[in-house]
This record gives sequence, C-alpha cells and structure tokens, in this order.
Amino acid sequence: MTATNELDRLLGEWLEEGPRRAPDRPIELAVEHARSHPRRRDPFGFLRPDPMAPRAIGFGARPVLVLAILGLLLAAVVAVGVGSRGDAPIVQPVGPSVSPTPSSEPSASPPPSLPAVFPVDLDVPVGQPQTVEVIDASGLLVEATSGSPTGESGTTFPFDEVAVANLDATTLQLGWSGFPCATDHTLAVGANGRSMTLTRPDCTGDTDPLAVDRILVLRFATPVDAADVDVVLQP
Amino acid sequence: MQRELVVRAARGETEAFDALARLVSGRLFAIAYRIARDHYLAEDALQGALVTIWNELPRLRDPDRFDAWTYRLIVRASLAEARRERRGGQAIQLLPDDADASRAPDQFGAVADRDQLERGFRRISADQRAILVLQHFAGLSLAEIADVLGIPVGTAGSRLHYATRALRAAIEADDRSVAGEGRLA
Repeated sequence: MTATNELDRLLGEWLEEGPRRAPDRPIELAVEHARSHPRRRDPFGFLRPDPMAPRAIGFGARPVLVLAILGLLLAAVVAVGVGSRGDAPIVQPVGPSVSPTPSSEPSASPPPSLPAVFPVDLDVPVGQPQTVEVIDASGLLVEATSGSPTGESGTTFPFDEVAVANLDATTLQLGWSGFPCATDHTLAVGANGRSMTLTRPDCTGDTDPLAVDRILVLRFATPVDAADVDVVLQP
Repeated sequence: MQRELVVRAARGETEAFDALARLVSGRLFAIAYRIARDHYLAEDALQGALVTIWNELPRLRDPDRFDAWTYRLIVRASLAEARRERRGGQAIQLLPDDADASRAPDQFGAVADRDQLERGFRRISADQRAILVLQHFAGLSLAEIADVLGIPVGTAGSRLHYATRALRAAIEADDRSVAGEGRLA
C-alpha cells in the first residue's frame, strides 16, 4: 500500500468520527426566517439564472437577457414613435413627463407593455462603484436616481431587507446595505408598480467586511404609498 | 420524499421547508464541522446555508440537483466562516507544499495517529480541507466535486492532489516538531 493510499484510508476513518446530527438552533432560526419572509411572486423569476447551471450558460445568460431587453425596448420605441416622433430616449420609459406633445394627456398615454430599463450609478461612501439596473414592467416609473448615504462606514439599513419610505407622494426611497464587493444590482418592478425584487449579487472572495448603505430613489407618474410597496431582497 | 419537499418548498410552503431543513441538516452540518473544525462556526455555516436555500430555491430549475447545490452552499458558507474566523483570530501558519519523498511508503500507518491528523488538518487551508472532506467524507467522485465547486474536473483533481500533499507535509512537520521537543526534554 502506498503512503498516499494509507493516508487516504486514515483520513477517511478519522473523518468518519465527529458529529453527524445538526443542532436544532440553526434549523429553527432558518425556519423562523422562512416564516417571517414568505415567498412572494417574482414576476422576473424565470429570467434569473439557475444556480447550478453550467458555467458557460451562467455567464451567457446575462448578455442574452440584456439583448432581449434592449430588443424589446427598441420594439417599444418603434411602436410608440411611428408617425409621431423618432427621438424617444432609450433609457426613459414612455410616460407623461417626457412627452414633448402638449396635447397628449398623461392619463391617456397607455403604459408601455414592455419593461423599461433605468441604469443607475449609486453613490456609495467607500469602496467599488455600485450600480442598479431598474427593470420596470409597470410603465409607471418616471425616473430612477441614486440617493446619498450619509455615513462613511457602517450601515443605517438592515442587511437582510430593503427599507422603503416616501420622500413625497410620488417618490419612494429604497435603502439597503451590502458588502462593498456586491456591485451590480437589479431591481425588478412588477406590473402593479408595488411588487419589487431587488437582487443583490453574491459577494465572494476577500472584501471589506464592513457593509455600507445604498439608497435608490424612484419617482412614479402616480402617487404611491410606501406602505403598499413590497420589496423582496434576494441574493 | 426529498424531491417532493424540494418542489413544495420552492413554491413557498414553509412546512415543507421545515421538513426539508431537518432532513438535510445532519449531512450539511457534518460537512461544515469537518471543514471548519469548530462546532459554532459549523452552526453559523449551516444557518447561512439554510437561509440561502429558502431564498434561492425557486431559482433551482432541476430539483434533482438539490443535493449538489446544497453541497455547494455549505462549502461556501463553511469557507466564509473559516475566513471570518481567521481574520478575527490568530493566523494559521501555512506550510510549504512539499512532502518529504524519502519517507517510507507505509510509514504513515505507523505514525499518523488521530491527534496528528487533527493538527495537520487544522494547519492546511480551509479550501484544502473542503476538497478532502468532499472526497473522503462525503464520498463524492472527482466529477461530482468539480460540479459542486463549479470548477473543471482537471482543476478538481489538481486541487485534491495538492491538498493531500499539503496534509502530508503538515503531518510530517508535526512529526518533526514532536521529535524536536523530545530531544530537548
């Protein structure tokens, strides 16, 4: 028997020793988390990559998604702009505040049937640049901008949820925290404009272990109450 | 049974998740403990993995991939806990990755007792412990290890080889230090 085989055998026997039964505490805490975070319907769930997809597919899925959204946006711009205007902004949804035609009534403008995408560069006090790609399926979102976190370190928002507050009747502030290496977020706004899913990317590798705040400001075409808004935070 | 629980938990049934968590936690905790070599770190790793399972389960398209996915989650969580511990605690001395080739072929059987294995295992990196645990405790094949870690099979084989060498070197270093202490005494 070789030294390696003997070491393998000893290692196998030694690893067999040790606990095999999990303590109750972590299980109960996880189940409690599940009960306090019931799963909501995710309108964009089918777009999210399978965590066990082969690497090539995993990397490929995102560009395909971006291309699909750009294609849909282009189709929406063409459909709306035929016969009226050809200068519709790419990253702004077709909505009442951006219409250059005085005669068009805001309420008469049909909401776009396809999602609009708002890329936002977030202000962060320290660390790497942070972005959020807001994908709006409601047609109600007029503008998405970054808020300004106050502290240079530490957090004022909880780590495992998104804090939602009204800045005014039509403007929401979404606040959350994360590690500096979690850089590229996605916020999916559902068709009702009230259900949202924020995807905070997996943050692996060495990073500053101190989380920092992120603030996103969303302005809608119609009044929205923060109490009616449901934001799910998922990695 | 597990497959049905996976499907129901993915739909958001907390009772199914409760049952599923109790069903798989023994396996996951055993792996976390053997990687982290610490009961409390393993507890934290298990809790983190279970929360991730709840949050991300709808994204798992194939319920039959649940076991491999949970291996991946518990390994990641265990490595994260081990790194966090290393930042907060004392640095672990890493040994040069060169085993003594002059050692007689069956000498390990005579000298590598459980204490030596424990000390040697603690001295190699958490990544190296993880791959050794996946093979020698979880009993995964090289292809399954590669799948769990999300790396090519060749890379998995290479990492396993270097982990084994590092463990052997750690045990030999331990052997030498014990012999040195004996001479001093």
